[in-house]
Amino acid sequence: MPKSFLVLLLAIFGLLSSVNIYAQPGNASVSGYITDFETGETLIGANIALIEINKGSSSNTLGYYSIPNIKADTYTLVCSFIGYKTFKRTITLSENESLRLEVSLSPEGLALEEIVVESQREKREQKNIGTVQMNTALIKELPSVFQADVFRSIQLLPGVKASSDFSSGLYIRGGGPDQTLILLDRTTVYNPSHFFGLFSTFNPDAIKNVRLYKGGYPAEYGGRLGSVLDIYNKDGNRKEVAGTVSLGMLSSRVMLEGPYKKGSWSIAARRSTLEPILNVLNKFDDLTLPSNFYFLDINGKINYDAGPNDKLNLSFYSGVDVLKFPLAEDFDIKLNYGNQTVSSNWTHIFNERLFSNFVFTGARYFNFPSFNLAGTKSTRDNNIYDFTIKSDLEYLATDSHTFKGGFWGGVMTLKLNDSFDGANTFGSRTQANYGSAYLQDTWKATDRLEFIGGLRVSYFSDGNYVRAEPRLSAEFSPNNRLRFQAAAGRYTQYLTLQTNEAFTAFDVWLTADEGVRPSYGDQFVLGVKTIPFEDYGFDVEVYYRTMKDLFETDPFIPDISGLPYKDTFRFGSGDAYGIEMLFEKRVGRLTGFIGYTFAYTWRKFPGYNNEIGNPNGPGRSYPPKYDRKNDVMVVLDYRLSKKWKFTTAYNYATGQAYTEPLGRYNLQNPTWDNPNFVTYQTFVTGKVNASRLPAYTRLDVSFTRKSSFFKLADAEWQFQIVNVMNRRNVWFYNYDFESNPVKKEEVKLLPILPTISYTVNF
Amino acid sequence: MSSFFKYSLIFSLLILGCDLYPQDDYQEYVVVESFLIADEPLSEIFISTTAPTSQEYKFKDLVISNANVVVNLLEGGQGSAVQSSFSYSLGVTGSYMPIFPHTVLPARTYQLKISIPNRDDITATTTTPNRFTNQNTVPDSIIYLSQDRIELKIPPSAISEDLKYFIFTTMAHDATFENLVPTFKDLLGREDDPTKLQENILRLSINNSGIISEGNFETEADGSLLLRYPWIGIAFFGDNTIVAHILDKNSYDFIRSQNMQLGGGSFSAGEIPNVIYNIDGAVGVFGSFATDTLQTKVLRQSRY
Repeated sequence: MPKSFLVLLLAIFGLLSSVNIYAQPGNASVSGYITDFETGETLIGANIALIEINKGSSSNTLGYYSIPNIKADTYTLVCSFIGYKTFKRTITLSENESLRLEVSLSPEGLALEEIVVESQREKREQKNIGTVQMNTALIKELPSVFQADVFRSIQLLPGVKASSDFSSGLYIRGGGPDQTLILLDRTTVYNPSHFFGLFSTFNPDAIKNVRLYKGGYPAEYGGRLGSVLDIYNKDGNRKEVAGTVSLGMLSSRVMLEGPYKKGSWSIAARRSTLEPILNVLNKFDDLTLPSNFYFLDINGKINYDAGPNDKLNLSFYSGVDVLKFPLAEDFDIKLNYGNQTVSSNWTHIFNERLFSNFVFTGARYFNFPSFNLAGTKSTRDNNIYDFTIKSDLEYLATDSHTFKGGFWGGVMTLKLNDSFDGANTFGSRTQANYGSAYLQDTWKATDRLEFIGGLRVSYFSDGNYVRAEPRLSAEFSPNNRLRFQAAAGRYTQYLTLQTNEAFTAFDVWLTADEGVRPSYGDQFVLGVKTIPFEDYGFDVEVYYRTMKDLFETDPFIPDISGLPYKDTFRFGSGDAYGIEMLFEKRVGRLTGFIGYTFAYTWRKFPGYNNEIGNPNGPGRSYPPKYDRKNDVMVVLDYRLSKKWKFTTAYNYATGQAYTEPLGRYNLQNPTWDNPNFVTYQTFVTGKVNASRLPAYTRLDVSFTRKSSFFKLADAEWQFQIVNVMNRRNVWFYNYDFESNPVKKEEVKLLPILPTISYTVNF
Repeated sequence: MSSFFKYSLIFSLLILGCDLYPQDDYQEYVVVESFLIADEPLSEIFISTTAPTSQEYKFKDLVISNANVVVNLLEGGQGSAVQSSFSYSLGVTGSYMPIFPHTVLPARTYQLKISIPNRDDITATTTTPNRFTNQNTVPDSIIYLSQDRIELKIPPSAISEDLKYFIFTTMAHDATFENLVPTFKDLLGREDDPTKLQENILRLSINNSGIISEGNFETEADGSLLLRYPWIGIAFFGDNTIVAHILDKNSYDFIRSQNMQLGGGSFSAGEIPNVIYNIDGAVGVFGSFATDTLQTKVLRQSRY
């Protein structure tokens, strides 16, 4: 490991170990955990402040807050969080007192109108630049294809696109799915999808918090060029045993949680329920259907309160997709892929200023497709094992400086073996050590001006790469209704994903290596966050990002057997820029948002998209398929009555990019092929992806009715219609060469799709 | 300030409205197609034009009949002096045929030169692969799905430093429904329309493997390459002829990129790349192969 890396690690710990350097005599502090009153679940990002001095903080990812350097006096402490009643308490602090105050917030209840008493300080939303906090309750209410899904909810946000109705993949600010780091309880998830990409692996019942950094993310994260999706599982109800059972058309879910003497636990499982339908349909001889087709996942977490300053937890996830599809005699397809993660976390509060977190994680992604056709078997064994240790320290040095630092080190093993007809055709085993360390300072220059500066240094052993990634952001709030934000940073990525946007069952992760440099990029973001009227927010962000040294498997290589690793790639670049607007109402009977994105994204690979006649040219930039210039999303959530709720989502977007073939010709005598048929019908195209599909529009509605389950528990019916207008949006064009002239056929996306689900909460 | 907003609005509308990446218009290109096969006579050359996709495609209406075509055998590699020249003339089938016969030499470079009035000159070169002959004895008959396999062994003398790419073509001599191997019989048997069924049988009667890399071969101790022909390549019982082709670079580039145009590889649906052309002044391919032919009879297992 390079010396520069070790020096930075030592600097971080040297700086943070001098605990009392900045302590100021005579000052008090208040700290503690912020939790849900009914369940005891910690709340992430809750705001807390002392009204009289307009000084506050927000709870971190473990629900812990701290407000140090307070003069001895009496104050009104106010705490608030979306969906909860505001907490108010008068506290009196004496000199040097470190008050430990655990705050419990009560859910809003059934009040139709929100009445809130707020301080100036705590009224600020957790709206750092490029950051979105997803409302987990809204995820379950939004109409979605067959079942509630975390990723599909995120796809509704400005700056986030989907490639199609069939994919839950996230295309954020011009980047592909591999440019978003996905963390579940701090563990990397490598293939976060079920059912060929239709859903994500995240069970909405098991999720506590979803935070998306669309861009310009801080130094504590790294490893991806674009974005970070940070998801936390529920800790478990600390007051009583509770649960949820939900029955849907495609899958069903069950979740249980509860306390025990020293903590809490939660467990959630989800399984597809297609087998009864398949069993019935398989009785029809003229239908060719899978003999086995299901997905299953299970999340669990156990928390242990070792003491007032020490919390431990262990969480795990395991999910799998299985398909067995006999197509004909001696012809079958088998798929078996999934993820497993485990993480153990130790949180230690040194004192009201110094807070630490240590995590050990393990992740595994596996994928074992096999095809058997007429006695010839083709198999792939694809495994990723990733074991890491992470540590983060947060130190509230003074009123104006908060330091964060940490490191992340691990060993990643990627195994990929292909065989054809019993012989190994490709084998690769990579074991890479990697590490990163960061140091970050949040400097409140004034009450209205704040800077966050950080440096992250990363290392990857395959190729012996060391990269420095500086990050800087600033925020100026001239008043309490206006925030100007800016961020810039360098980001590095050592991995690339070979995937098919329509079908994620064959995803393969590949790494940088000798001759395969890691990709990197710079991001620049400017933002304005405003509160134009009470309870309303209006945000605008402008971004520009570059992507350099992109590496991806060369799509023109039909068979990589025998090729050196670096020769299986092509190398290119890209950039993306755009403006996002979000107008939202977060309080009241009617809530929701209108989002608009205007964006461009480009890619360029040498030798690709050249003009005919210039085969050795540098290549021309082109937009990838998922590029859409204009994207409007309207999401509304309206409480009709105490029992009924209505949610709707409307999306309008200008068309995705595609290539319109301009001319054609046929080979007359391909001697290796069947002379009885015209087989090599060839297109001549102009610029790649220079044409646009028709605009996309879709309206989804959902009605939720609260009821009771035989008066034993609360229940809920949900009636949804996806694509109410039955608008058959175009996915892509297919070309039928059996017609002459060639016939262009539309391959369409989802039709109108009603679904129903029933949930019992006990 | 009002001027600022006015100009901002105009600028925004321009940005929103203008197309930064307009599609090209259709342009007609000359299409050249020719494949030389080592140890076989010089083959025909097809010269035509492209047609817009919106129009019906009829090759004979698009043939260019006034081209001056010459194939030169070069002394060495590309750019070297001409050793021999072979002129072509237009035949009745719409293709250009060599006026005098010549057997294509293996491991030699041939240059194509075409001039057409009022069009750019067209040039291309191909280096034919080395001759190769299967060193293994192919059995007269093999039992389907048995341990006995057709094995192709290529000697070191035929292998150059570059990675080689192959296509295997299987031709069934007894292509009937009854002779289909079980998998294909099951699949094709679901077709109710007898005309379509016959068409599918005809399609399967000559099928090819697609491009297979030399990396799939095992390397023997003496440096030769060994490939066991997979059963997936056999669609019919009875007499089968298998032709193994080694591709030159031009053929490899053309075939691999053409196969990707409509749904191959990791391209997104709807992203259609142009084919990789190694011709100056035209589209198409001037490529070459070396081939070897094997024959065997595939017998049914007792259970079939």
